[in-house]
Amino acid sequence: MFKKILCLTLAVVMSLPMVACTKKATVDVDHVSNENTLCEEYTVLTAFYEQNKNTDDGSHESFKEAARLTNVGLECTIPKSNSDFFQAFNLMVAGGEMPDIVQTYNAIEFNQLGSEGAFAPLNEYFDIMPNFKKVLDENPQIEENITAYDGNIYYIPFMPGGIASTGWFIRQDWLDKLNLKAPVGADQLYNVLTAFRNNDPNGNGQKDEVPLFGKTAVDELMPLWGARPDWYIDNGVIKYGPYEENYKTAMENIVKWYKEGLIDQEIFTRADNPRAKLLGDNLGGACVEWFGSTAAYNDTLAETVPGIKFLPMAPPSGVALQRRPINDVYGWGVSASSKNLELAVRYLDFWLSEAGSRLMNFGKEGVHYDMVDGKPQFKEGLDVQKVLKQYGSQLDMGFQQDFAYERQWINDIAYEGMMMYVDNDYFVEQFPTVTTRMSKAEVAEYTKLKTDIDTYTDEMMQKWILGANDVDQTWDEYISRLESFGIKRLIELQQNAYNRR
Amino acid sequence: MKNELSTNSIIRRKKSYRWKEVLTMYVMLIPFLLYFILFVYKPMGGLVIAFQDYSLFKGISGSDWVGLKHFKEFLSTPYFIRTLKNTLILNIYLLIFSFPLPIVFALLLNEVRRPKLKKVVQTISYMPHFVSTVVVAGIVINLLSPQSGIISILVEKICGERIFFLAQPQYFRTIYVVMNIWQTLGYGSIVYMAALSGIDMELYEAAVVDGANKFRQIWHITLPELMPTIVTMLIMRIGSILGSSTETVLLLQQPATYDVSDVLGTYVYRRGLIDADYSYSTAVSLFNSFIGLLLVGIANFVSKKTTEVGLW
Repeated sequence: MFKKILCLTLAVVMSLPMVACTKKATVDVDHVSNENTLCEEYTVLTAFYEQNKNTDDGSHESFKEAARLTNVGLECTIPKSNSDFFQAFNLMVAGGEMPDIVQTYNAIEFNQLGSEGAFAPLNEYFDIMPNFKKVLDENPQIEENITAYDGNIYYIPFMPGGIASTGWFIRQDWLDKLNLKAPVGADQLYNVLTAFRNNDPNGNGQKDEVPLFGKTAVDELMPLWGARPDWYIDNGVIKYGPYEENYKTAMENIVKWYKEGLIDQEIFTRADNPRAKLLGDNLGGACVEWFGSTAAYNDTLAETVPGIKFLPMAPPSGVALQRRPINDVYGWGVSASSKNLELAVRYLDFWLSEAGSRLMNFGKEGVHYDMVDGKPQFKEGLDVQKVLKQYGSQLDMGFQQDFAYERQWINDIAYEGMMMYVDNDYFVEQFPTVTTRMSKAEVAEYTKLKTDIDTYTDEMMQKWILGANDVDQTWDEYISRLESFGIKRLIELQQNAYNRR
Repeated sequence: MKNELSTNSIIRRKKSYRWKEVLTMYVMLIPFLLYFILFVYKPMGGLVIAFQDYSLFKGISGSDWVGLKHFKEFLSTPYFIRTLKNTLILNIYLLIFSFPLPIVFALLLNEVRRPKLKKVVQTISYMPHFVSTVVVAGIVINLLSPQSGIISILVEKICGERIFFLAQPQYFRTIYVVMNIWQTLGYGSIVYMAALSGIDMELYEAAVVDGANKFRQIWHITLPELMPTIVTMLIMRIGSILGSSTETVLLLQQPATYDVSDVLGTYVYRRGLIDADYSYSTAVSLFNSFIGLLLVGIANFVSKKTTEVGLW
């Protein structure tokens, strides 16, 4: 009864845009049978698919090209007028009418719905998914990450290419000017930042330099004293950094550095991207940020900040906390009620095959790239990111990204920085995605505990750094409050989920 | 009082109409009735998910009933008292500082005798309402930025020290209230302007003959005539005392100011970031609405007793 009421309301809301959108562009396919053909007769699968929460309807050229290869077309069912992916997703599930293929941005929810019977367990179809099986066999870590608590796999995740994500950057020209070396360890970093602060490396006669900036920088400082800002894994044991004793030492030092002006005084209140302002005004000295976009400032600021050399350096602590995840928590799966279940499963698998993977990574041969020595090489002067996005490559869906794609548009500074981090293997062990392996009741308990504990540690961290509370005086109370909030139970919950492999 | 008389006489006249003549009126009412039934009353059935472990896929009929579990969980979080207190204080501040200003503004504007000037002032004062809260918050953050904000620079020149307005708890409430006033002053005065234009000019003429000055006219004519509108707005405002401020607070707050800035809405929002739990957030909304309804009831009762004006 109540479901009816809800559904009726939802149906009315949905039907309006649906009416306008049922008229879909039919793909004219000039299909030639080849090794990628999935079925004899041209079939159209329905898909709940949308790119990046934008309003485009998913009828990308790349899907049409795939239809030419596989004889399977894709019709996206999200109304064009939709602007909120999650709302549309909820309506679709609550409405009960599920398309063949469903995209997800929230793996926790997807796994829960899957175990309730909404989505097909892909592991039962491994025999017709040779490419997916191969990827999982090569990367057992991915299989562990995406397996739900009931032991099934419900989605094919997006698997990023490359390993390095963020790294330390420093004004090499400032170091040279002050006759300093790239710092190693806490003491050297302290000296370098102090020199940036006091010796006027930007040469404007004012003491306005901001030696270290960016929120992630504070996190990345912590390993200098053996601490961690968040959850981490230590020889198979899950630990919470802010609950460990060395977090206190790290905090005391960071508080001191902040007080001395070595860390950006506005660190918590700055806009999302402090790099543009602080580097553009020739004020920022060092930060920890994404390689590609940060290295690009050397090109864009070459005229306004003469002599700028903002180069990657090895992490002073010897470790980097952030790396690219081996798989992301978004992707797509197949609904259990699909009439073309096997075909849909094989279609998803196609995107992991050589032809599908190349189409999704590099676009179309002859249009976007040429094969040079057996490898795709983008055409000269192609605005890679923009053109491919328009064409429908590099989408948010289950495929394996090839780092060769990114390598061809990032500049050499970024590439060398990435390689330095990869070759020296600075990365700490990646914290596994444990929540996707929890039951619904466990997720509820986890969510409750984590909200309170995060609220408290975030608040205390800022209060310490901004000087509202003294670390030494409040530490014991801090630990006992964490315990009263249930930190031990939260660790236990995650450890149990982690052990469930 | 004259207004009341004339309304009564209209009603008396209407009663003598035959029902066929008013049928068109009822037909015109249908779309609005449908709107309320479909979009306001029907979805209320969905509130039962507050008492369930609701699953989108299983639907309401298939989900398990859990009684008051979500309410208990919400009331037992260590931050419940703090977030409730902050929500109440922020909203009471708004009631004290932000609610009366549109009335004063409307009264002042009403005395402007040059139509052109009045229109210009009105238009300018409405404008902030049409600016997105995100943008307004962005402006506030920039104005208060210690390094480049114009307010911070002024304060530094006058007091000799830099103040981190947004990172210090003691400034949060003031910033929030001032931002709210700036945003709502003009638009909030529209309803009062409308009520003011409905006051019979003869009342003022009679008052002038009796020798009443401007202040006396406002005190004895304008305010009593405005009273029903003011009381209605006040009661409605009281109804939303536990809600409404989430986005603005979220945009202005920092963990460092959680002591005064963390409200029910932002707390639930942070929880929802980890895992969207529909039952839990419905339980919280139901709790908020229940308190709101209770307060509206009390306010209405008090108002009826004291001013004889009420919503029902």
